[in-house]
Amino acid sequence: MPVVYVPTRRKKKNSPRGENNKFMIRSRGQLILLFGALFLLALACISLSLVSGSIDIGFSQLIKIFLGEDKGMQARIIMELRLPRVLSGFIVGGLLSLAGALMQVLLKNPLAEPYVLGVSGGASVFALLAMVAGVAGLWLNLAAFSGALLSIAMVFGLARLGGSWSPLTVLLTGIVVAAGWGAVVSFLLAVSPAAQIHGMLFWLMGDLEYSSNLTVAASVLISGFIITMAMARNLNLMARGEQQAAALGVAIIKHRYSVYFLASMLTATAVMQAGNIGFIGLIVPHLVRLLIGSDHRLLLPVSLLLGGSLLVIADALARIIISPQQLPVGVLTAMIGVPLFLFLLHKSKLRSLQ
Amino acid sequence: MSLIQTHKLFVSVPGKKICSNLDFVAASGEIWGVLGGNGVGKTSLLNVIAGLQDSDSGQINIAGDLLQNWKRKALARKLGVLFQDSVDTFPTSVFETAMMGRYPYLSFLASEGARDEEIVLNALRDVSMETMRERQVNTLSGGERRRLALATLMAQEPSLWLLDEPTNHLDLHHQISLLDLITNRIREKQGCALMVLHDVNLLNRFCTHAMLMIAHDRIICGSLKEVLSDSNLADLYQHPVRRIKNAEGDYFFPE
Repeated sequence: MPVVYVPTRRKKKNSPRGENNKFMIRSRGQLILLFGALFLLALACISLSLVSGSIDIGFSQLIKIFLGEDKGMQARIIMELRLPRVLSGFIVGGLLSLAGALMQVLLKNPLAEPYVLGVSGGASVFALLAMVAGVAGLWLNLAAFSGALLSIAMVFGLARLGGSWSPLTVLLTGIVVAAGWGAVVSFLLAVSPAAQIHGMLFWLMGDLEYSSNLTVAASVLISGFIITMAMARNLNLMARGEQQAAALGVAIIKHRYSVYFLASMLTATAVMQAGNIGFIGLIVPHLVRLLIGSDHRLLLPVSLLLGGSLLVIADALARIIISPQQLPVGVLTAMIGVPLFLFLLHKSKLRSLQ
Repeated sequence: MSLIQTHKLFVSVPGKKICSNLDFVAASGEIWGVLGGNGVGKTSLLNVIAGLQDSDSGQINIAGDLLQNWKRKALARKLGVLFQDSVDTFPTSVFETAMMGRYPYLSFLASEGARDEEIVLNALRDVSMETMRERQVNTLSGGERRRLALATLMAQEPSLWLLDEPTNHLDLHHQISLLDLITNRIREKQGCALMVLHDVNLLNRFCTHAMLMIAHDRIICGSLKEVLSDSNLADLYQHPVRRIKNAEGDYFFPE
């Protein structure tokens, strides 16, 4: 993994404006502090999420369960129900944040997010069709995944039709394909029997209830993270425009396609695992850019940890706010994400104006 | 030694021919100025020579090797490009941006070292931006961005410089001081430059050779004396040009 570049001179020079509108990472100590804090945050979110639910299980009992001293009913609830769901939430949050960061570089657009190119639309249509056909469990996930793959291939093929691949053509193609899928989704919702609508809506809004295969999702996340970290410095250059990156020695065509397929696969895995959880993929990378800047060697791991934590805590809230009923987690990610994001955006704007 | 050589080069973009059968040689120590009207294809020609755009046919040699045989990263150590505009969609600092010029020298997973930092700081000093190193790029003025792009290029340390309108957005003082800096740097290292300029007087002051792109089949290359004739310039601009003789060099003005 590339070590993040840390300037050796730490003396701060004063300049009239524009300086310090983020928390610059200046030394290895700060780097360790940052990641230490992020790991603690992740741990806190995970344990908070583990203890919250319709059955009361305290922190002390949680520790006992993990130490193997408690093997009762509550231990089974934690290990078999809550832990897989919490881990799945963390993984999906990480997948979406990484995918969002990649899409933003690929499309040169800070507003890009994992679903912008229609990956989730294709997945939704296939998942709803599977629900209409009456399948559930793993087959539902597989249907969603194949829908996502179909959409990825379609957008890729259509965007390359004219011969030239520009961020704008890809973006427009993706948006139009997504709109097409959206129409099919509405159609399916309109003609489906009322009994199925509730489940369909939950799937569309994103819900960790449907998550099944943790190992697959975890290995996609880990391998995706390793690959993106290896590409991190190239991503920094690509964010400055493809021509500039090529002139500085980046093999641009190879990287462009790698970024596209990587971002798509991460998104497809997330959608397969949890449906369409909005907002994480847009807000987390953007938030991290506002906080620590756009060096992807930092941006990617920080986004992953923050995205995972945010989704885990959102899911905990989704389970307890109107318990015993549950809310779709997508509602909560937006409810937490929107004010947090607006606050940071406003703050950074004020700083840069000073 | 010839650093750029084109042989029977044909370049076109959809709907327009840019050069036909161009044979052109630029050797080390030479500074070439490229003049041409709007839309004649100066930028496209530069991109083709930089390997960023395909030619229709013909050969391009960079430092003795065919362009297509160069690996991108090795080429970036030899040849640097200053683009007309720079993209800054995402927040980065001045220092981080200039540090990108060191990319071609870093192996796959290596990180920047003290020497890279020194080179970047020197480059920022050369364009008098050393006090702005922590500034965010989106807070810079047009001229400051231009100087930052030049500093990035200097950190790249190429021997072959392709400059697309380096004086864009620059005030009078920086136009002269930066062209002085670039041309001195190129002479010291026996490099070579191909720069698109719009001002024939700047070209006359800083360049040793000129390329006049009058039409796709009429591209005149040669030393200033051979090329900068009144009739050539009048053809180039489609406007009569008056020459004012001066001891230090001639000046050109539109009629």
